[in-house]
Amino acid sequence: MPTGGCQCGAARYEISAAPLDVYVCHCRECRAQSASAFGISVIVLAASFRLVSGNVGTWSRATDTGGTLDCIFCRACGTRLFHAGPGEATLSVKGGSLDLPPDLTGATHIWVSRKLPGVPIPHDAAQFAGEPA
Amino acid sequence: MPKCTIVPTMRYRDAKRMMDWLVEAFGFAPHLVVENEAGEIAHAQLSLGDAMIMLVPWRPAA
Repeated sequence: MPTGGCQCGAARYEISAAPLDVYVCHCRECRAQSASAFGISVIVLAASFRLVSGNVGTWSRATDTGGTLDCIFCRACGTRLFHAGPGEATLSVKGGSLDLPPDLTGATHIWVSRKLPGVPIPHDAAQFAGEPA
Repeated sequence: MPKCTIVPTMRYRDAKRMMDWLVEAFGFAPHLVVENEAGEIAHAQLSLGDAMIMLVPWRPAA
């Protein structure tokens, strides 16, 4: 069972079903969220995700499609843990928070039109200039 | 994880109050509850046996 948590260890979670997909996102929002070159989104069924410990908070932002995205973080250390669209059946778990790092070999790269110079993308990786069609 | 394959989502103006009532009246168990800065429910999942429901706040644009 995949498990993960925040940087300080206060917030812990477990996922009882296999992830559905893995995305590497190079958009500005994901770069800002991760404070790094890209964001890693591991898509899981919301019902399979369980917060085991920790005090988490939410920061919400508008999406390009006019919706709202709830961004959940540990209140103690600020580590972003997962994103949830209100009413959506899936959650986007932040890949770096998993105890066992996700294998990015088969990951889909999105918003590659905004990737940082010098960031390589495997030749055989599925990739999209923006949001997947 | 619940065995159900459909998880209904309900929007409420006061999702926290509704969650408390569902827990008290029917025995739903909080599975995942996330509050926003105002202490309101931003995202909640409640389970009852093999069933699960989601509670989210009502938003004008949603």
